[in-house]
Parts: sequence; structure tokens; C-alpha cells
Amino acid sequence: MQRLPLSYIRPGMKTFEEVVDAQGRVLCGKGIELTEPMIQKFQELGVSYITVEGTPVKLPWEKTLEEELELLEKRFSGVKDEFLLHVKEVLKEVLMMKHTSGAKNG
Amino acid sequence: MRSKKEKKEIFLFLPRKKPFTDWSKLLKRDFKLKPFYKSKDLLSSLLFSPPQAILYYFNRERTVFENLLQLKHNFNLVSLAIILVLEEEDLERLSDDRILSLIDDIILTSSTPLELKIRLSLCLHRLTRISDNNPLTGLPGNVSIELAIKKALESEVPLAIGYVDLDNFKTYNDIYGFSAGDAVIKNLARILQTTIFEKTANAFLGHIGGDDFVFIVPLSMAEEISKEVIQKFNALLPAFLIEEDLKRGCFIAKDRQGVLREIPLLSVSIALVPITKGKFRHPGELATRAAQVKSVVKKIPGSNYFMDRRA
Amino acid sequence: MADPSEKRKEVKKKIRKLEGLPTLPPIIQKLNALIEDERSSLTQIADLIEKDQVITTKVLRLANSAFYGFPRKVSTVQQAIMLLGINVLKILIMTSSIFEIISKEDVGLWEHSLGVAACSKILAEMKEVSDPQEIATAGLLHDLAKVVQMMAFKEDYEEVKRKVEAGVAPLQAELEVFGIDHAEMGAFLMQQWNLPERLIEMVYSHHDFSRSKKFRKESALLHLADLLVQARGYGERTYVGLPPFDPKALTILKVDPLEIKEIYLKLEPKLYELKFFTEELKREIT
Repeated sequence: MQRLPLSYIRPGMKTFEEVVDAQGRVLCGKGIELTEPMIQKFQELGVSYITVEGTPVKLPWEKTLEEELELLEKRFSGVKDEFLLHVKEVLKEVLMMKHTSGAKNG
Repeated sequence: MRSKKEKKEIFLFLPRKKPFTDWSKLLKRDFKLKPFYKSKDLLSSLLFSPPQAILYYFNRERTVFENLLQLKHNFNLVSLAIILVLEEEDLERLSDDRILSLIDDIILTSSTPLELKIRLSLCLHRLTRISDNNPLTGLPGNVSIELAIKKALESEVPLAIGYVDLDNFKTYNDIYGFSAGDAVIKNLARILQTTIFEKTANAFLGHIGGDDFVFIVPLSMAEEISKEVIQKFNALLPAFLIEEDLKRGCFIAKDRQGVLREIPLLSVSIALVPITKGKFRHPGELATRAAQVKSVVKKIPGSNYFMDRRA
Repeated sequence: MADPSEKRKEVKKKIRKLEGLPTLPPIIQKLNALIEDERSSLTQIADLIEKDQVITTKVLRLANSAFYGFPRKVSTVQQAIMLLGINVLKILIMTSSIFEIISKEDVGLWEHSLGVAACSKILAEMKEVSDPQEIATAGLLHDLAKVVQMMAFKEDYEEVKRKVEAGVAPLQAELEVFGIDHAEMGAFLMQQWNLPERLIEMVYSHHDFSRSKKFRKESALLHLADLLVQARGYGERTYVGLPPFDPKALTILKVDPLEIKEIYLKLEPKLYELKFFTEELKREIT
């Protein structure tokens, strides 16, 4: 699944979660294929993000787990402090959670 | 520590040529001059540190001039003297009443520097004499309010008159001091001003004094405006209160008998009286009705508005 | 090499004369479009302004100016624009200047500030620190002085970058070149512009909270937020590494190391959403 701002949503994408408006009202259920008129309506009602099935959009800034972990090591190179090392471990955990479950929204 | 005579500050937005260069030379002796050639710089300085007067060449950047007028109106900068500098042939184009109501004087490019200096001084003196506007908020005072109400009673269009005041303001003043109380008033004025005039130009806003305000708006907008004013006031209220009072949800103060009591926090009350032509033959009748509605709305705890539904 | 204390005086003098700071062109464009759109609410406008440290500062500065005399002073964008109103806001935006040329790398500063704002808010809510939105504002503004350096002290800014690349610690490099670090510079500027005391002290103490007098907890919070966001690597900077961290922050804030995971789990979705905004900004900057 992928969580995307409305501007990235295209007709044909299927909802993974319910779509809610700014007030939290449910506008659309999950598993629904989105159409152009629906997307327009969402825009008028102030919807910001929609979670869709799969990963239809390749976000150019997203890194692979390997890349993230490599950069993490670089940032923490030479660090010996106990607490900071703990932070590093937590980050590793969080990054792995993010990438393995196929969840693309953290 | 003030210098013995602080020179008044004048912004100049004039072309870099004669006769303006000669004017600057003379004015420099008695005033603190600040010339501007780029509109961005002018507007920016105006926003953050407005001067006492501005000399604006009429043929320069009309949109910027519009913004200037808007700022004067918006911030009620009654003490900002706007003096329009014109060529003689531009006089004909100056029939716009709105411009005339916001500027303070005009001066022709054919004037002598000495004439300019005298006119400028006259302008500044005149402005310090203006008494009708409330000194704290710059809003129209009682004379203008009476006139506006008289006019409203004759209006063909249905209007509503709103009477705004603060509940428990005296307690607030007693606890927090008069400066804090003044700040609340100024900010309430600001909220009323922006809310009303962002919705319609057909409105009037006056400051009777203390925490009492009056506004006149089209009837169809009265409730919406009242709701928004209340919402904004409530949203901004925490900035006026100390944490303990906020957490407690009330003030602790002595009442008239000298007994310590819990007194509710500051809130705003708006009494709305619809006006149609011929409904009130006399401002006195309106005043009586207004007083009744006010007493009703002030009894409701918290910030509220109440619209009189009687004929 | 110039005497640091002389340089410091010179820097402060220049800052005193500063009229305004430039921002990124796409932000002004978006803001103008949003304000012109009649359907947009004050909340939406506030949300966008809160994504830019420069306009936020400008808006706060005006709302705190002599006109208003708020006793506790206006500290969030929402409050400020409620007071100023749309018409004044329009003119304010109009008087804003933009960076003529800014590198994509420098946009990383904006990104980092957004990350710290988000993290600060999460920490404030978790630790029940009052007015989380105000804390978020401090997070947004904590590195404001770097914008000043980029704009008003270009050569010196480049020199600091060179020193850092050569291996000097960033704060040390700043002191050597400017005689004053960005925390103090930022606080000095905010003081000039009459911003609220709490914001100023938080910024002043965000690397060294022994500097804080009244707002220790808040300063410690900002200190931690800055570390956590840098550790996460959000917002590319010249300096790849972590800022000096004082573990006292954890004691003052009463943060248990075991809570770090919870913090990051709350932060990730926010950073993910913010990324869309900042990446778009980077694309629009040539």
C-alpha cells in the first residue's frame, strides 16, 4: 500500500483504506476503484491523503533499505555514546519495519 | 531618553527629479525624511514602522497606492497623514470619494517648498486634534456612531446593529492591570475589523469606549459575523491569560462585598438588533431594545451572540 | 584571521540593520495562489505559512509589533493571521523577497526545520508541555540564523562550509568565522523583531541549554528534537553527522530511552508527508 497526497492520485487506483475528509467523515470505503469525478469531489471536500493498494507511484526520493542503512552508518560513524548507539538501533528497527511490511507510510 | 524635540518622520515616494529634490532639501531641516523608490520597501516599512506622514506622487504605481489606502483603513491609522502630490492636470481625476475620504491633503507640484512645509505642518497638527476617533483603537467614536445609526434606521436594505462588549472585563482589569486590559480591547477591535470588513464593505464599526463596540452590517451576515468573532476571540483568549487562570477555568477575585469568589473568564457578548426601515422611529427606541437584548445575552455564560426576534 | 570578538560586533551590527529575509520562490507562489483562492480557509493558509520559517517570522513580527501589545505575545501563525486579517497578509506577502539563487542543498535547511518542528510537537504532546503549537514554531525557527548567514554573510557562510568539510565541528567553525553561533544569532534577530520570549529562549539554548533561564524543559525538548531528526537523516546537509548531544536533556524532559521508538513511530508518517512538500520545492528550484 502507498499513502499519497491527492495530487498524485489517478483514476484506476484502488483504495486500501477508507477515504476521510478534513472533518474525519468517511467519504469512500476501502477496495474501491477511484474515478475522475470521485477525485474531483475529494478535492472539493478538502481531502489531503489517500492510501491506495500496491505502490503505483515510484517516488524518486525514496531509498531502499540498504541505502537507508548505509547512510545511517555514515551518520553515526565514530559514535561511541551509549544513548546515541541506542538511538541508532531504534532507527534500524524502525527502518526495517517500514520496509519489510510493504508499508510505504511508516 | 528622548532628544529635546523628536522630528516627525515623513516617507517620500516621489520621482527623483525637480521640484521634489528641492522639497527634500528644505524639509530635511525640520523632519526626518525617508525616501523610497521601490514599492516593496515602502510597503514593508509602512507595515513595520509607519511614519507620521507620507508624500505620495499620484502618478506612481496605482496598485501600491491602493495598498497604502487599504493599510490606512485596515489598521485605522488615523494619525498617518497621506498627502497626495499631483500635477495640476490630475486634479480632474481626483473625484473618487473613497480616495478623498482616506487621504489628508493634496499638494500640487507647482507649489513652492515653503508652501509644502506649511501644508505638511498643518496636516500633522490637524491630525493630532482629531477627537472623535477612539485613541486606543482609532475607530470612530460617538459622534460618528450616532450618525451611522441614524443613517441605518433609514436604510432600504435590512441591516443588523451589533452591540459588543466583554463579560467580566472589570475583574480582568483588576487582576491583570490596565495595560493588559487595553491590549484585549485593541485586539478585540482588530478581530471585529478583520472579520466584518473581509465579508463586506457595506459595514460600520465604532468604538463607544472601554469594552463597548457597535457594528452595523447587512442582516443576512450578522449571525455569521458574530459566530466568527466569537470563535476568533475564544481562540486568541489563552494568550491573554496566565496558565493558572486558564487551567482553573475562572478567575479568583474579590466581589463587591470583598469576598473571594470564582469569577468566570473573559468572554464576549454580542447583542444583535435587526433594523428595517421604519421599525424604530428614533434612536432612543433602538437604544431601549438594545439594552433588553444585551441583558439577555450577558446572562448566557461564555461567549455568545443573541438576535432579537421581536417585531 | 579576524578577531572573533570584533567580528561578532560587526555581525550583530549588520543583523540590527536587517530589514527582512528572503524565502524560496515556490513558497511565495503557492501562498499567493492559496490566498487568491476564495475557498481556502485561514487554517489552510496558516498550515502553508507554518512550512516556511521566513514567512512565519515575518507574520509573527508584524502581529507582535507596536500596534498590538499582546501581553503574552503572539506565538503561533494561526493567532497571528487571525489578528492581521487576509488583506494585511496579502500585502505582507507582497513585500517578501525571494532568494535569487539557492542551491538544492540549502533547501535541506528548510526540510530539516520542518522535521524539527514536527518532532518538537510530538515531544511536547507526549510530555505534556504547554502549547505544543508554540513549541512547533520554535522548532521551525531554530536554525533561522542559517538563512541569515546564507543571505547576508555569503562569503563567511562559504568559509564555514569549507571548514566543516575540512573536518572542523560545525558550531566551532561558526564561532571561528562569525564569533557567534547560529543559536545566539537567531535569538538576537528574534529579539530585534519582538518575538515572544519563550520562542527566543528556546532558540538561544537549543545547543546549550545551560543558557536557558525560564524555559529549560522546552530548550531540552528542542535539543532532543534536533538530534532525533538529524539522526534520522531528514534534510540533507553539508555536515553528515550528529550535533553534540547533552544527555541531561533526557533527565530534564523525563524521556526514557525506551520511549525513543514510540517517538520515531509517531514521527515517520509526519516526515513522510512533509517529504512530498519539500521534494516539490526542490524540483521547482532550478
